[in-house]
Amino acid sequence: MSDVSPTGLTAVDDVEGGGHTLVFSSRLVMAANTSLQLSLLFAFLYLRANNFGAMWHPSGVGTPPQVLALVSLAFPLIALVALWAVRSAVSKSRESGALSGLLGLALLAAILTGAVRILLMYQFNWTLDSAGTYADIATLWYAVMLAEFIGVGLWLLSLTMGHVRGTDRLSTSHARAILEQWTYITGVSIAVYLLVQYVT
Amino acid sequence: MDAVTTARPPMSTRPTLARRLNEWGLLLAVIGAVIGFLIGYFIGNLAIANSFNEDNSLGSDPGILLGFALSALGFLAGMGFLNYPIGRLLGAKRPSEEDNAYMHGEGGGLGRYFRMTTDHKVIGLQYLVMILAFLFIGGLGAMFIRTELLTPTPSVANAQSYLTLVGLHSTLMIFMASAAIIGPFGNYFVPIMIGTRNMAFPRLEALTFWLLPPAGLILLSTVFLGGFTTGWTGYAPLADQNMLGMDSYLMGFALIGLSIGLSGLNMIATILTKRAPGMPLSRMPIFVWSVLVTSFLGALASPALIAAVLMELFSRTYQTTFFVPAGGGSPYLWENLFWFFGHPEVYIFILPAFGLVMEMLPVFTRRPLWGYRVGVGGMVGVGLLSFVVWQHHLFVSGLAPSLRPFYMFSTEMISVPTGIIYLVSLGTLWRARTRFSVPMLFMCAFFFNFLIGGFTGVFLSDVPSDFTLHASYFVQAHFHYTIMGGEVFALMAAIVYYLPKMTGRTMDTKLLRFQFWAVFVTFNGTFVSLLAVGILGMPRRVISYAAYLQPLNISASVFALALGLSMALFLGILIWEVVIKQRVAAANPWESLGVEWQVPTPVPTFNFDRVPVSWSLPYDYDTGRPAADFGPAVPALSGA
Amino acid sequence: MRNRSTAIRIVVIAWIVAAVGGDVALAFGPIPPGQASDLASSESLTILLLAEIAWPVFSAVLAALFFTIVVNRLAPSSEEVSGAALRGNTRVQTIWIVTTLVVVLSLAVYGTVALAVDQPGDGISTDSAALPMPGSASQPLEVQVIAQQWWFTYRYPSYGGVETAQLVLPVNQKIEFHVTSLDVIHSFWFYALGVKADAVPLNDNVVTATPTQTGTYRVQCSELCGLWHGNMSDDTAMVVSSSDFTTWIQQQQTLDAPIMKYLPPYSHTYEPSPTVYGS
Repeated sequence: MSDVSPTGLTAVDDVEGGGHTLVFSSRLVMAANTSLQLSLLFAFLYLRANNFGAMWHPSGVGTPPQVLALVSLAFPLIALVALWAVRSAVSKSRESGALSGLLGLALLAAILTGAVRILLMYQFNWTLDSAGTYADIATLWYAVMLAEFIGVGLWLLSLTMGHVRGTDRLSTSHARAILEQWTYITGVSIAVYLLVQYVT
Repeated sequence: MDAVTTARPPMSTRPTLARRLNEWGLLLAVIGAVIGFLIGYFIGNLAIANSFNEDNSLGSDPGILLGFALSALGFLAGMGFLNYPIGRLLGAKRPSEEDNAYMHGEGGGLGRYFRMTTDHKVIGLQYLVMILAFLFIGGLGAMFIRTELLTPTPSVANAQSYLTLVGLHSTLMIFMASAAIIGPFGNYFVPIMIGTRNMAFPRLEALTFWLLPPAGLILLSTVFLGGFTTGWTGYAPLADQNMLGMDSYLMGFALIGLSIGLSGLNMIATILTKRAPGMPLSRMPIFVWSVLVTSFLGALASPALIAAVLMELFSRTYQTTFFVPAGGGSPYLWENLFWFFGHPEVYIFILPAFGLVMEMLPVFTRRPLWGYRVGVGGMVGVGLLSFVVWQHHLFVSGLAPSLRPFYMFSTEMISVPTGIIYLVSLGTLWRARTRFSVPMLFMCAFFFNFLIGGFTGVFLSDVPSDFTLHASYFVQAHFHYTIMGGEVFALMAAIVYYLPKMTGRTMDTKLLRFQFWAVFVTFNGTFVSLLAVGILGMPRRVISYAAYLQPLNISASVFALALGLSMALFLGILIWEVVIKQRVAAANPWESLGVEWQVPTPVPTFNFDRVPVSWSLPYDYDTGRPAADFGPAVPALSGA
Repeated sequence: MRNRSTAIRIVVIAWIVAAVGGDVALAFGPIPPGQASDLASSESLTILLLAEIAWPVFSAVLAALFFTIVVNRLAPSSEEVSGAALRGNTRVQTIWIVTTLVVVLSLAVYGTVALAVDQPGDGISTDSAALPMPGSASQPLEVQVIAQQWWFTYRYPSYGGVETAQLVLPVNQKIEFHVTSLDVIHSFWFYALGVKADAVPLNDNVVTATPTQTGTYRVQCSELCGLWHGNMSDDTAMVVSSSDFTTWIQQQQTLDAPIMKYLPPYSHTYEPSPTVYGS
């Protein structure tokens, strides 16, 4: 056998994971998140199908206020569009000023998302110890989604601050990863909205 | 000097604030934990002050739970885990090269092990100590249980303390087993084996370790909160009924679930994106494959646990009724979510052990690994199937009886890929010049024990026989044979095998051989007795049993106490030889071709001066060809 | 080489002896859970068959391990180069995998058939209206097992819903157990009859079995249900002749008469109060 390395490389430094690792890991998180969402979906459908003690959705328990719920979906969509624009801007290497504006817009929409969703949850008005399991699972699921929006929102904040203060160049991988992550969470929150609002 | 070696800047003499904080991390962490607990406790109790109240003078569930949560957060903050995220959130400058090198443990010293260090090797050794701590504290619980079970009626314990100890023994062992091989050896060796300088997310890996001490302490705090009576499976609605001690279990398990999930994500990212050049997946050491499959299980199964725990936490604080039928819930919901996690969890225990045994076998047989591809296929098969068998824990629960044949089928099927491990091992051992060093002895015991464990599983997977055997000591002996007889024996083999690499020290062979036989005989004595006791009708987790079962229980207890002594002997030998006598080991005492053995001991901080180029699988004992090119560096071709 | 083929022969013969000897011993030995009911007999048969297949396979693997590791190894100084394939042998791998698959599949098929034939349990009964089964040659006798923290009680709906603390069953009568709980998850384990059914609140878990031997047996809880789970057992469960059973149940009805009006009407499930500890 020859002693020549099959790759022909003989002088290498560490394999720079960098951007590829980031995008890949972000997708792994989405996979794990999917497992969590499926568990919650299972709980929702199981409790609904069985209606134990006739307490799935007793009378007197309403659904979340429609308008506010739709508003709570509008803001993530705005942020999504902004993040999409960020990604194209970064890949075309636009100047930093436009990028700051777009990031700021996305961040603002993200903050408003959180605020509206908190307000929405306050409007549920369910007394959880006697409102049945529809109210239970809806509350839990909205709480989980709120936590996820806050999490990705904080990531967005760090990217924005890094860019604005010039301490961190926003790379294409970062832009792509956060766009994918935000899209995923927005998609899930739309599905949750539809389930909670209409599959009662 | 080597032009491509990344030169590290000299350490400056005046430590920065970041470094100072990092140095005092553990002290700050403890302070943070206490402050966090008090704040959470106060706020939590306040939050429900005007509504229903329950429990006792120790506080309320929201108080305790929020206290635990903020305490864990305070601990991690004090440790320094929030520094980087907060820095990013403020847009601060990235940590300097120096700070990163310091955090990586540059400069050595024992202090690295007591603070947040991003070096995967340091994390590996930290995990090893934590695993051994869980193993021995949990083992003490087992000693107590077996002492109590010497008599058919309560003798040394009362019902509450007995059940709490049963719960503590099992939960601590679950914590231990979920990271016993991946924690120490996955962390230490996977990056080296795949030829990279560090994990994909080093700070995250440090986090997965530092979640363990709070998890363990929070779990142990149940002793001060009245204990819990559900065992490690936490079935609702008994869990809803339990008092404050239940919260310790829930929060502890949540932290462990988080650690398992995050570590899984990190391992997958590292293995799939940071392998050295020349290493396609088909040339990856089989141990790394086992870690990869296990990590997928961890990342995809622990969210189900998180969901279940969240539901239970909501039920104990906001009074939701997920598991209470009168309120619309169902105990079956907990059982399903818990076991959807719980079954992959036990494969998380055993798969790394399989991988490690197959990795070590060529070294002691001096033959290449036989059937590498089929072995990898077996592990992947086990991993995939592990997601569709969980209902076998629910065969007598009354749930979905028409689904039982399907789960019986899938559970029986899982013995096929598991059997492949034996195929690969037999092939590797065939006509081999076997060296019966201590690790090889433990591996032989592994094959024997796991064979019994696996075959007893067949009886449990068959529904008609499960009617008799479910929830009896037969099940208990089955999983002790697989987890303790399998994973813990593999753990001991791995400790003896890898100690020279990780610490440069070794242990006295004669003592170890004695300890091996002691633990092998007492282990089998204990669990054969318990298999028998189960077949004869003794249920699990009971403090009283039928009088005719006492002789077998005495037999099990006597063997068990001796087993405990044998395990303590192992720890004793370890501490004596490694810490006190510091017996020095040869550089590669097993003459292994593994990449991890070709790097110097102690392993350089960044593993390699120059990343090796992989040539082949590290099992070429027939030709002795090295697995990777560590050759002298050649100057880079372009002006990089 | 002579030594090696002798060794192989010895190991194979030893295995055959052990396998046959073990299987014969198994056929004679009492197999749990015994023959006290049709269900138990069927489960015993299943366990026996599993054991009869498992033991030879188990001992074969053990023998192979022993042979490979201990007998068939080369001396460290031996110069022999093994002619066997070093890295894999597709034929061997295929044979192994196919054999294990076939064994496992047949076990699964057998288990499914056994389940279908026994019909031991219909699981959750969706029928909430109480249809008490009186028990006769063609009809099963309905017996409800109510588990609570920390004892079992039994109700016989076809005898006026009388509730008793002791379980007494008529021999050679098909019994339909309806197992439920009042608080947390318990499990009703009647070892001798081969009956084990989890007691889940607001659920009706149905298992059927026909006792075939009279005697006194043990009944115990086999799902951790709190503090006194270990004490939730009872050695006074009895299977008696039909006439003895009739005598006994009539005695129970008389005993119960004054309190019958305080008992909740018979139903397959009862509203539990699980959040009150020990209620």
